[in-house]
Amino acid sequence: MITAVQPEKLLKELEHVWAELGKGHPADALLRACSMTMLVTTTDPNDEVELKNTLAGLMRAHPSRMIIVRILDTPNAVLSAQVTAQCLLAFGGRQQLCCEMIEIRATRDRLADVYSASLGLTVADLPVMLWVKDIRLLQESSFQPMLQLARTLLVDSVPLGPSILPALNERRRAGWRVKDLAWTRCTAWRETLAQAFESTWLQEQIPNIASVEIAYAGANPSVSGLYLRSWMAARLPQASFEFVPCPPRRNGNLQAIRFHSTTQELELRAVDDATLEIVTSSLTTRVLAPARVEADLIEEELSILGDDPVYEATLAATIAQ
Amino acid sequence: MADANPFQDPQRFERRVPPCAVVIFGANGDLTKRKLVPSLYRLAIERRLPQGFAIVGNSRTPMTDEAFREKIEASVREHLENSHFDEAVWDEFARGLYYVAGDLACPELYTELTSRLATVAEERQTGGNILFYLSTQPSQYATVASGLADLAKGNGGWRRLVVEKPFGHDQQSARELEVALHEYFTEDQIYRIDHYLGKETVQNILAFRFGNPIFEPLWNRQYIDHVQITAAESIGVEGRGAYYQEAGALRDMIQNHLLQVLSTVAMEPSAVFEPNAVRDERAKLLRSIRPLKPADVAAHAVAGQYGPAAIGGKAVAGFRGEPGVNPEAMTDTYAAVTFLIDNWRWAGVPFYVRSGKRMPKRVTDIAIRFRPVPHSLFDNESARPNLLILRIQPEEGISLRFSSKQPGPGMKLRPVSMDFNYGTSFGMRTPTAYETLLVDAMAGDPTLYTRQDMVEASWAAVQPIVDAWGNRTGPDPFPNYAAGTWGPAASDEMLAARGHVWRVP
Repeated sequence: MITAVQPEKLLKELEHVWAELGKGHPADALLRACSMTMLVTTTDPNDEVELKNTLAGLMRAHPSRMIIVRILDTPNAVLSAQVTAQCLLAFGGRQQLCCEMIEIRATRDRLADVYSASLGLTVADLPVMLWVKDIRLLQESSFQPMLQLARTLLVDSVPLGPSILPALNERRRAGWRVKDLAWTRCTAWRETLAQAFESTWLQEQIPNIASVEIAYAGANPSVSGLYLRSWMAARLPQASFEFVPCPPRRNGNLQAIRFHSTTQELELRAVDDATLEIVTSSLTTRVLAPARVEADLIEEELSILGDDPVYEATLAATIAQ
Repeated sequence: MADANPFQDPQRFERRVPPCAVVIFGANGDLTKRKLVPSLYRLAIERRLPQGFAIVGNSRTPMTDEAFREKIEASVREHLENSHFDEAVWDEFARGLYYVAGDLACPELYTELTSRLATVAEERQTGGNILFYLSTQPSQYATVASGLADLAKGNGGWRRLVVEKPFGHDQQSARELEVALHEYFTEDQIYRIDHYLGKETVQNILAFRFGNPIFEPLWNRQYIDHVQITAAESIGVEGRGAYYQEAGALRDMIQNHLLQVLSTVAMEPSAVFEPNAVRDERAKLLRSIRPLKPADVAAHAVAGQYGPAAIGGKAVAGFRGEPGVNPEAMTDTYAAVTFLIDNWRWAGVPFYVRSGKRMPKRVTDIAIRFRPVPHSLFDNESARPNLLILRIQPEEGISLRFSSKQPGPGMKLRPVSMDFNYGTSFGMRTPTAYETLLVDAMAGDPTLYTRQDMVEASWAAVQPIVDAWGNRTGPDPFPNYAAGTWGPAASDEMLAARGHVWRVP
């Protein structure tokens, strides 16, 4: 354990970790892999196992140097760090893929030190992503310097709901690439819808769609539901939109989307936790859409390297509504 | 209708596939069971099939739709590599499976098929779009095309025809096949499948070459000494003896797969990544291959046939001893060819291409050997030329070999390797070649399909060898290599004539 966070010492510790890992293995048995720096900030003292599992899930397609900043609520100032490595046997391979992990524990009053130390810990010439696991941190002044560490910001807006969206949009306008997992959760719905509308016959019905119902379970429509409405409204400017509550068929807030037109009814609805169903007047088909784990959602976001104009327009439109 | 679907988000969604029916001729065959239907089912698992989708199978065996579904289910369960079988997806997929029995030469088959496809279009909302897949004997291609004369015209939907190799058994028959297909289908309706082009690692050659500017300036005669393309199989003919003895390694592998790989390695960059632009460049390259004069064949091409041997203590039959093979067969189970490309980029750079059965291991790779340093500061033995290896299978990846100083006193150099491994860098299942190519055909993207001019150009490159080997006189040269070895000595001599040696993959 290091009692202060000195980048040089941590990097030396990492070298030692690699030397130890390599002992007793053939030269090519371990691959030290890194395609980015993934900086994670969390306030949950109990998420250690879950977070490491998520990061391990990401390692397959996006090996990275992982810097976990664990923000503590203790009366005394704390700043410490330790290094480890995570290894896994990659799909179909004989070589272990290993990523290094630096865990920093700090109280809020030491976040400025964490920021300066992190500057020396990010991997040269590779992208840096900042995953703000506790989105409330975005509203804390002590956290603001941390935002300067990356130009890509990953959040999940669900815990705070739509009230955080203007802050996300501000970041976006200031040049950050913002990625919200509440939007990523819409992908299965959006993709299934897009696939259904590949039918030229359904495409011809688009101008006739007069209204759309979005069925949700729970107290209120979620941010994902609001995003979905804005996204569809931009594509169906003639249609009116309404949220309707319904009993849950599937975990999560979104349950169904119903398109009403003068000529054709179309419904995309949840059947259960793993399946969606597309219903037209003459055909019902099912597609597999299992609930996705956090690593899977993040992986989708990481696969988008540049700007995401569809999300950016949807975020702006959701705030405007 | 590319812009008519406002819900598409190309940055996130996989390639869009319009509603369609896939008609498979030869639905009882091995290819259908092992590759086609498992690939289509995997696409269903990954939500890449359209809502309106159906498969109509055809073979001579009478069978109900239900019996066909059961048969296909068994095949999918057996051949679904690296994926799980999901009952719910299967139930949905199976509802779209239909079967029409009939002989390909009988006009009644096509009448029934027409009526069945109309019903399927109604029931499964396939939009009248039809992809015909010829998974039959090549000798039946023309018959099927003629039977589809009316259906090919289309009536409110697109029609496409996927044809499996071989595209003819020589230049002449390739042209005859073209004429037969073009009588009913236009060139842009015909999708000639070469599954090598659908392999992720072959596609990655384009990404590697044209997405990384540091390599392209070196990619020419000034810096590259020669190129070796190897496709070795450790197995023999495995029950395909009757087919293989008519084909041989030159026709079965080099004329199609390996010349397509060669064209991908050597082509010029296209201005845009669009189907015809990329295929134009591939075709141009294939047309630049120097045609061999009959007198030059012996120095540029080597045929081999494996004889019996013991591999790891187990006796292995020679080719002529394989079931279904004529004991006097003159088939080449090994072929090695030196291709020369007559253009500014590649003038004087030999491309050595070899393919064989019963080699020591299964491997397909491309080795690009760079020229040695112009003046060596170190002893010649240790400073070896750089070698770039593009590994297609197994252990797909890229390695660059360069020299490094050995630690310690003195200046001794040792070759070391920088490795990129697909499996470790992208630790996920990659789609099979058939998944990629089926989606492309349904989506109307022929980039990875072979065009007729490419077929003709590749036949032109090998036809002199086919002719020379067909008119062989003198003593029986086969077998000339033992099973489990890297081929005949003459192949080594072919390279030695230019001061080169085959690398051991």
